[in-house]
Amino acid sequence: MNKNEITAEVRSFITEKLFRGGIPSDFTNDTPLISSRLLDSIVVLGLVSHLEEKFSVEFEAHEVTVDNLDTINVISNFISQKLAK
Amino acid sequence: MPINPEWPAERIKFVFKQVNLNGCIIENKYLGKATEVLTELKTTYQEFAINEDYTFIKTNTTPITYPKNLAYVLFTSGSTGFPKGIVHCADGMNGFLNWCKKEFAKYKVNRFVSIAPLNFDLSVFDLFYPLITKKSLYLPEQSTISNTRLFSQYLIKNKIEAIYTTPSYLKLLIETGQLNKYNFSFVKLVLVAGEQLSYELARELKKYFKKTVFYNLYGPTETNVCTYHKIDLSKMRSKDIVVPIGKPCYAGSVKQNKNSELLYKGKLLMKAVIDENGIHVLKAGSLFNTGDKVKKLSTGCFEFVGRGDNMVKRNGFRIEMSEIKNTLLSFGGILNCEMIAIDNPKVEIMAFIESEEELSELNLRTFLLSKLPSYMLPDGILVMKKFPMNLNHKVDLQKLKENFI
Repeated sequence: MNKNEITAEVRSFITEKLFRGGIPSDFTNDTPLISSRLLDSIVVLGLVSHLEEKFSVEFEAHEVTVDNLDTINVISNFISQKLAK
Repeated sequence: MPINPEWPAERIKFVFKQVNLNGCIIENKYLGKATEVLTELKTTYQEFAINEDYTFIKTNTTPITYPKNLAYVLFTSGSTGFPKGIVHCADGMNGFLNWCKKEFAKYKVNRFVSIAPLNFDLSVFDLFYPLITKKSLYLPEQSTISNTRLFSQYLIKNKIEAIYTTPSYLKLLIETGQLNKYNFSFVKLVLVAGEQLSYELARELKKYFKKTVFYNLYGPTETNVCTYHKIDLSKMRSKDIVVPIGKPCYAGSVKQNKNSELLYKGKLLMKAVIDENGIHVLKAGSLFNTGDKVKKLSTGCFEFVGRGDNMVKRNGFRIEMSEIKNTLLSFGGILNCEMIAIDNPKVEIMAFIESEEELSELNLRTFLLSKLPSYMLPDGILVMKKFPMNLNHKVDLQKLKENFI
């Protein structure tokens, strides 16, 4: 799976959880999700499980942090790196 | 009084101010946020390092006078648009813990785990029950709790024997915790509270926790746990859908009023409430209306049916929808706002906004997050130019609801 496909998958999961009335135009792949608290802990919990299942990766406890999950781009980079290992 | 450091600064400020907080222990990464709030309140303070992770802050304020033997204060969503502090005293808390001893000691649990946030009343049992019974309490990191697969492994690794949590978390654990990989025969007790529990979920749980005894515990923050029901799946009938909330658990009584709401009277009731106007001490022997509608079953047990007001429960947290509404109305440019909750099959809250301006949902969310804890955010925000009206010239809530999906 290439980087764009990963980004598209992550984006579709997050926007579906966040916005019912369509994706706002000011929401980008660099919008902070966790540090801004846009994603609450329950959604983050679901997000990590979804990523693990979708990309067949496993998060270590120390990897479930804002540094790896804060924006769509950050998440996609992190997944790409894990897949490349 | 537990304060969630993830709350918006404004909420923390309100809470500090209402109780005239004179000391607090804080994780160093949130120290800046706390001192900023104290500076805004013009409170002078001193910092004392406890260790490399925590600091004790001492302020020179005099706390408001509480009832005697104060045990804890929990702030929850309030219907007036401000958070509400629930004040519990030692006799109520000890009464609850002694009842727990009477009911749960027979299961001989040695290792407990605490996963609920401290500002959620499940933590009263988590923290104090193992302490008074001299048992072990395990405190996993948030990153472990947030990843159900890691949490499953944590249970296995530490041979945890009792878990107290919400149906939502147990559901996630089943869906994503890879429970089928492990054998949980060492788990003796699972306590469930905070939301309605379905028999379907209970049956599903039983597949993985074969040797476990399940209890459904019920009570608003004002009473902590006031009714309980030991779940016996062998006795359930095929038409049973919801696990009852059961019977009163400790020196107290419950009854229904004519609107089917559950009333509680007894020792477990809070002793005072703190709101935007200060502290209000309750009269001894007060009858407390939970606002929860219940049905009395032939077994004498109560079953939770729903609520008649604007309070909803989502993921175990109670949310006053009027608090969200009032916050939204303060955004500016909003003519009208209606909140609608559905419960099909999980509770979702939708905010409908009438505005002639092009409001961005992202901006509205960011604004709400600056005022409210994350757990109170609506699942959806829909901005419309004009609300549909019914024949009585009122907002047609039914039509709005149809826009939900």
